Amino acid sequence: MTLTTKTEDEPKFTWGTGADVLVQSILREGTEVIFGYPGGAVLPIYDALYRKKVRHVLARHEQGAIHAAEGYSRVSGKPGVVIATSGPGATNIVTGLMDACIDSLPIVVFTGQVARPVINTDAFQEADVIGITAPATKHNFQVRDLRDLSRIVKEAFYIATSGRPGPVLVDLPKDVSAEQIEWRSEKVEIHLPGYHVPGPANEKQIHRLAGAIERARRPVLLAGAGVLHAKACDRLRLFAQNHQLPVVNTLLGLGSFPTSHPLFLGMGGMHGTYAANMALSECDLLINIGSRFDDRLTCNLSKFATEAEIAHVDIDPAEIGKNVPTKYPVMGDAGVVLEQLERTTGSCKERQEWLRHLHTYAQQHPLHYENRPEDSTIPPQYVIERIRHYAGSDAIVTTDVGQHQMWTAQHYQFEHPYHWVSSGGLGTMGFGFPAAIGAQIAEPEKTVVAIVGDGGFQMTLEELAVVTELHLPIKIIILNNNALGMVRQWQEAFYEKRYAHSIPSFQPDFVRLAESYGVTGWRITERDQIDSVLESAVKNPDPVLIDCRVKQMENVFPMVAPGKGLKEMIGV
Amino acid sequence: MKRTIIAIVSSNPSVLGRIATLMSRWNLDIDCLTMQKLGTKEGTSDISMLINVEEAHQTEQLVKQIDKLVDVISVADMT
Ligand SMILES: Cc1ncc(C[n+]2csc(CCOP(=O)(O)OP(=O)(O)O)c2C)c(N)n1
Ligand SMILES: [Mg+2]
Repeated sequence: MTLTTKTEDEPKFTWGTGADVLVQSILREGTEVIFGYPGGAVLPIYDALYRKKVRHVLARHEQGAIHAAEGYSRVSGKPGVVIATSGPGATNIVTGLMDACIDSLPIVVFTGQVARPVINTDAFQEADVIGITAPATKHNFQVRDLRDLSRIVKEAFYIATSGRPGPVLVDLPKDVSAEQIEWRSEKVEIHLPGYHVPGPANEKQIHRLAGAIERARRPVLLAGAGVLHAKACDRLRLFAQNHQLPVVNTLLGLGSFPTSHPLFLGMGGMHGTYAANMALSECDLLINIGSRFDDRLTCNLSKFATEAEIAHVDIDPAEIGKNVPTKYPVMGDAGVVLEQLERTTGSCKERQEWLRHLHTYAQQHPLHYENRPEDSTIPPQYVIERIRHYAGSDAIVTTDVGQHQMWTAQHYQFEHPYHWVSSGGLGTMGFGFPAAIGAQIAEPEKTVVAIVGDGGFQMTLEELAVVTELHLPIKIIILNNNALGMVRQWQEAFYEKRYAHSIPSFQPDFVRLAESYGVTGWRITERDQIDSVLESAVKNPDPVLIDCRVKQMENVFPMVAPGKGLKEMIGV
Repeated sequence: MKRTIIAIVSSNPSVLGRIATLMSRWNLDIDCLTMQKLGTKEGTSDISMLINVEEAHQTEQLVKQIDKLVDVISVADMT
């Protein structure tokens, strides 16, 4: 693949360093903000940033920087850009790389490396970053020759953002970024003979799938994050409406279809709704658009969609047939394929009976939880409903990982795309709060709510400094059950309540902690405080942290236990 | 069953490691492996591997994963 762009507004003929070339190349890609943390091997790059006055957000830990970049990318659709130093700086971003890799987020990371002459000498802060990050990136590069740098940067952005998006890392030895070079404004051509982005889908595949959709009596559409990446939510809605297809979302697909839509059945999978999981189990045609049949969605594969023919639309051919044998494979971008399908699919079988059947499931088995006003403890699900009430469907919601994440996915009722930010594939605790920083930077005018657990928040809470420094009006809501709740729930259910290390005996005073960082901190301990505190938090133009004490022993239901099929839900 | 997989790759020092990482992730023993620069096209090499898999489906998936590598220009199960 070869692509050419003309470079404009660049110096015609001057001397600069490799770092200047780097910064110029990053800006040329339209980068508005860089998340990073300095160190010895990136000093030349930081010097170039200083000269260029680029917007740079100083995280307080490299993991915070990369999760912020992920949040920024999820909300804006643009690539998130990160700089970290060599050695420990680079190893600190590995979790974020893996997270972005499995959740298909376009992230471009630049790491410093020790100077070329000392590579492989175990030099100070040397790490084999290419080796370490190869399985956690879509691709990575080490720049060995300064003349390759602008091309590599262009290739890195192209690979990260095209096809199935993913993280790309560029490792830059210090002597390359410090080297002087005559800077010429010239065309940069990328050269990637082994990289292909699928075009429109094969028409034969489209025709076969369209025929199957026309014939199906009990079809269901499973919409994943691929629909969001393809910016195809409007097309999805039209297609579902025109052909009367009920829709199930994956965890990461939430927001791609409005929760309030009559065709929407909710999230499927381990903590999905009864109606969604029964639809997946009873359908005769399952059309997966842009999801990878993750095991948290399918649960026991041998019991998954046993009555259905499977159709799978994916831009990544390696996903098709990976977990579930597929009768109708369609390789292509979700938006392009939906358009092709719309043109091709004729009138469909009558489906009122099937839709009514699913509707009955939804009515008879809605999500529910115990909420007795006379109880002194607060159900966490109720807090989420109240957050939804005050922050509304226009707020961007990020979560960390655990019970609070599942409750938010179940109860927040997302209406719009790109308003839901969560770590799905890797399930990375520590993701939610820094991701909210990136989200707020991408959308400065929107309300951004970070719903986090007391455990996960402690993994990246150092980023509170960034919130104060940049005055980001994020609302951080800790659903504080004083437990590693999701672990505790599994111990309760499958280890006879042996709560090994899931109920810590100490936790910090989160309110005073927030205040020590200059963030307003409030605490909710009683039911009657919920409304007034949430209402003032959402109205408050400043960052606010709320330590909301919730029922410790609450469990996430419904649930499909490990090894069970989607039909075998408990707590329905 | 024995399968022969042949890949045409961009000649660079990291490409073999990337393929080897996949093999190790898939827990596949390599019976035989050769890598050679192609005389016909500069900057490209040919890697051929003889592997032992349990079912054909596995090779299909493996070939797709190898093909995803940016340094791999083309790959096929040539058995
Ligand atoms: C980095 C990391 N370590 C461990 C886990 C395993 N884990 C999943 S959920 C969970 C508990 C999270 O506790 P908390 O943040 O308080 O959220 P809660 O489940 O209580 O809502 C743990 C330990 C993980 N997902 N990520
Ligand atoms: Mg907790």
